[in-house]
Order: sequence, then structure tokens, then C-alpha cells
Amino acid sequence: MNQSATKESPAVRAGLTTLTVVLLVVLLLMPLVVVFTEALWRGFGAMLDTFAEDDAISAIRLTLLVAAVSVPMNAVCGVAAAWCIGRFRFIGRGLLITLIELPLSVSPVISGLVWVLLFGANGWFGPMLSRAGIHIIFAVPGLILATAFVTFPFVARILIPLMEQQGVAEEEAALTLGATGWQTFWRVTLPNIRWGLLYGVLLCNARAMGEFGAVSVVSGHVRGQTMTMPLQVEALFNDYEWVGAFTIAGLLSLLALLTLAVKAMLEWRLGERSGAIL
Amino acid sequence: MTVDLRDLRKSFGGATALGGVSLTIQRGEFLALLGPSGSGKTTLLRVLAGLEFVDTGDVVIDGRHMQGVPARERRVGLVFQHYALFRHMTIARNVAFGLEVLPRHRRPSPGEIRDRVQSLLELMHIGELGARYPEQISGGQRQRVALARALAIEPELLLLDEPFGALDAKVRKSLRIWLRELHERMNLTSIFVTHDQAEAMEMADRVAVLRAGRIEQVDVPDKLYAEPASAFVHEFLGESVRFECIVGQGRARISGLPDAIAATDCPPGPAIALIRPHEIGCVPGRDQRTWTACMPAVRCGGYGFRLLVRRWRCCARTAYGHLRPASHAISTCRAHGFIRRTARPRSCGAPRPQKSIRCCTQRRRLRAELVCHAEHIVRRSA
Repeated sequence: MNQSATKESPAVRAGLTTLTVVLLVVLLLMPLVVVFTEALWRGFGAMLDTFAEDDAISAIRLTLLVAAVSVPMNAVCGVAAAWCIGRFRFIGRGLLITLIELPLSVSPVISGLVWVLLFGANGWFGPMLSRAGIHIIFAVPGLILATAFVTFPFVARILIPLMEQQGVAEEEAALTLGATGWQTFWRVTLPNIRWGLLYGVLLCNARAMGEFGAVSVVSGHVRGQTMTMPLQVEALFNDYEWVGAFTIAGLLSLLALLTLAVKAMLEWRLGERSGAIL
Repeated sequence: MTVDLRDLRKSFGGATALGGVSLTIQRGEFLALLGPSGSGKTTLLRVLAGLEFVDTGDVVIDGRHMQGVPARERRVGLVFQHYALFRHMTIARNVAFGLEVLPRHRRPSPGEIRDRVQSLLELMHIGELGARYPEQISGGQRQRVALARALAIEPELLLLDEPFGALDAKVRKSLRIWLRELHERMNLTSIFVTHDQAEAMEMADRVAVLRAGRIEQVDVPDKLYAEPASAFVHEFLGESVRFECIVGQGRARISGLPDAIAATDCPPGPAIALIRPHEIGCVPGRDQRTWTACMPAVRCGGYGFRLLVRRWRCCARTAYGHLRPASHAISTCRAHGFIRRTARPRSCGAPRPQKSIRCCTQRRRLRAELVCHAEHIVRRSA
């Protein structure tokens, strides 16, 4: 029998596989099933009633608004950051990479708290801004800032290795052929990173819609005004409105599943084209 | 288009890439930049293309000072070593790129662009590839696409960075002749970078040999080979064999070879003579006084016989020499040599007694003597 060095005995293999499957079911699949069964517990009509309430609609609208502002913002900043890190060698480049990854290592609650400390009523710039009539904390701008901070790394982190790997030769070729910097970006740089960029934007979007911690700190929980979908889920849950809570949770889960499906498709596409997953 | 390079200097961090390069390229000339890797030839090309800017010095193209002029305004065609084709565009779009990015008032109509692209592709003998993507065609075809793309903007100066570097030997040879013809036909001024001396010698009108960011010599290929200006050029172009020698009273004596005496203006002392292998002949020994080469192996090699010559104890290295068939061997041959000072004298052992060698192709024993006369001796510059 061919015994390879990396082959384990059948018993070990079966054991490990079973363990993985059990963990997957318990930790990942069951919660998902629970979300949908709870939402449908009182029937389909009760579930739809949730969407008749203004608070729910405003939560959905706010979530979409926050994502619609913070995701494009991060896409642009992410491309810019990846471009300068992937293309140039400069002093402080390592520091910049660390800074970009900072939101991933900092607890989301702290990410939210930073904004409160900066722009809150007793924060550094808070009094000045409130005198000028600008409200950031406990208002939509705060939600956007907190979400943008937390989701900043997603686009940049995917694009940096991609752009490093692709190199500058094509852009230099475009320049020698008479293209301006802008033309080079639109016609050469962007098309080359488009799949990676889309992938990063999807991840960024999934996180932006689902973010709870940072948003919770800056939101102030004003119903119908500063409640995003995850916050609305918590609020409804605390009010013992199970169906409403799980319906919105289910909607969020559906969004997540959709993102996953598109992401899987992109990975397949990327893998096929370049022979390398990001 | 005349290109004038004036004392170009450029360093990356502490490393000098160009250490004062001055060179004039005439209109219609095909110039090769030849040198080992790290000699600054690619940097020089990138400076010409406007992708790199020099610290000091000036590039003047047709009387126009290029310092500060960005790449896109230079109208210089550049073919990259690995082609740098736009991978997300078809071949036709690649070639059309330079025309499509022109400002609106200078841009040809889409129909004209299509026609120009097609005629360029046909000129490159790849007319049928327009709809393919770069990853779907072979290396040689990509090379032609890169060339077509560079020529689409109708440059007067064409720069090629190792144009055949990534191709196999057979494709490379056929492309050399084709490229040279294209240069004539399109009335271009071309500069190409290579580290392959055969390529440079075969294609170029003039060859500039670079070493550590400086030009060692610029000349037509024949003269470069026959009259190298320095030991580096002699060794870099073709094979050369080194001989220990002693310089005194304006003459160099090759150690152990009493017949090999050559005039030189090298300062007195120990030196190295560099001689082309085919200029060394083997003749039968006459008496005990003549120095005899010890030849451990003879291999058949092209037009002559390639001879492995182990020289005397003073330099126990193996060198290659060419041995002509025995009937022609009994003649003293001319040698273009080069004599260079060495740092310290090395002791040369007493000549060993004659040894016979076996010539494997002729199956007969042959005693041989190494005789060379250095006729032309150049002093090493710097």
C-alpha cells in the first residue's frame, strides 16, 4: 500500500471530518436556521407586518444610506492607498500598511468610542462643531464615520498584493504611448484590478451593513432616526418582539448570503483568469 | 532624429546606475547598448524614454532639451523586455492604444484607427491575431505586438529593451534579421539594449559597450572586436585567453614562450596578455627550449578543433583554444592581444618537458607548441 507522508489513517481522517462537519452545523448552520424559523414562527403574514412599521423601514433605509456612502468612500481611498503602497517604495510605507490594518485589530467598540471622544459633546472638536450647528455624534455623519473606519482595510488589503504582483510595466507602457495619468488609470490600472476591487467592495459592503459595535457607540439609539438594521434587531429583541427582530436579522442574513454567493463566483472567476486567488 | 546624451549621471540610493554617459546617435542609426547586467543599459534606455530622470546631464533629441519632458510628450516608442502588453485588451486594442489616447483634435476616426492597426499587424505578419488576447498568443507573436504598439504612434526614435531576451534561440535569430529590415524600411532611429554580444554585433551599426554605468567604447562591430579599447571590451566581446607576461623596455614577453614578444606601451612589470583563441596556433615542438602546451583534451568544435589547454603552474586554469587541423597548424599565427598590468608578479614554473597529446578526431599523436605574436596591443584605460 502506498503510504504517503501526508496521509493520515482512515480513522483519524473520519474523526477530523466529522468534527469539522459537526462544528459547522452547530456554529454556522444552526444559527442561520434558527434566524429564519424564528422569523416565520408566527407565519408569513406576521413577518411581513414587521416591514409595515416606520422604524423598521427607516432602519433599512439608514443602513443602505450608510453603506452607500461609506463603501464608495472606502473603495476610492482603498484604491488610492493600494496604488501608492503597491507602486512606490517610500519611508513610512510599512507604517502606512500597519495603519490601514489597524481597524481590523482594534475592537469595534473602541473604533466607535474614538469618534465620540473626537466629536462628542465633551470631545475635542464637539463644542466647536455644535456651535456651528453640525452634529456628528448621535447622527448620521457619526454612523458613516464609524462604519467607514471599521471597513477601511477591506479594499486596500486585497488590492495591495494584487497591484504589487502586477507591477508597473503596463502603466509605463501606457505613458510612453502618450496616455495621460488619468487615461492610464482608467484604461490600464483600473481594468487590471477590477475583479479584485469588486471583491474588496463586496466584503466592505457586507461588513458595513452588518457593523454593530462601532455604530452602537455613536448612534445614540434614537428610534426611527439613528437605528441601523443591526441596532434595530437588538432593540426589537430587547422589547421581546421576536418576530420583528428575527425578520430583520433574516434580511441581514440574506444580504450576507447573497454577498457570499457573489464572492464565491468572483473567486472562481479570478482563479480561472489569473491562476491565483487573492 | 539625432539623439545627444551629455554626461548623464544617475544614482539610486548609493548605487551609481549612470556614471557620466556621453553619446551621440545619428539619424537612421541602429545602435546597440551592450553590457553585463547592472551596467546601466536599461536605465539609460528608460532615461531616453522619460520613465527615469537623470540627476545631472542632458538628453537632447533633435535639438530639444528633454529634461523635465514627461514620457508621453516624447514620442519615443519603447518595447519592454517582457512586452508589457495590456492583458485585458485584445491585440488590436493594444496596438490602437497610442492612437485612442490622443487628444480629440489629433485623434484619427475609429475607422482610420482600425485600418492603421490592421496594416501594422500585417506589417508584423500577425494580421489574423487582432481579436485575440495577449495570453492566447506565443512569445514571438507578443514581441511583434509590442513592436506594432510602439510603432503605432509613429515614433522617430525606437527603443528596445532586450527585445529577444525571452524568446528561444531559433525565433530570436529570425527576428533579428526581420527587425533590422523593419528599421531600414520604416526609416527609424533605433537603440536596443542587449547582453548578447552576438546579437549586438550582428544587428547594430554601432555598439556601445557599457560597464558599471560608463561607456567603455563605442564603435562599429568590426573595429570593436579587432581593436578593443580596454581589457573589459576584449573579454566581453568573444572569447579571450589570458597569458601572464612581463613588460620591460616597451616589450611584453609571455612567460614561458620565448617566441612570443610584442611591443607595448604598458608600464614595465608583470602584466596579462589577452589573446583571441582562434589566433593561437599549435605547431610541433623543435627542441627542448621551445615551450610546449600541455593539452589534456581535444574536442571537435565547429570550424576548427576546440582545444582544452592547461597552462603552466603559474595559472593552473583551463582555457579554450582553437586548434586548426594538423596540416594547417604548422604556422605561426597572428594575434591581436591585449596586455594588462597585474598587481603582483606570479612565479612561473620551469617549462616541463614536452608532452604529447591525443587528438581524438584524427587519432594520431601530435606534439604541439604554442606560439603567438601579439601585433596589436592596447593599453588598458584607467
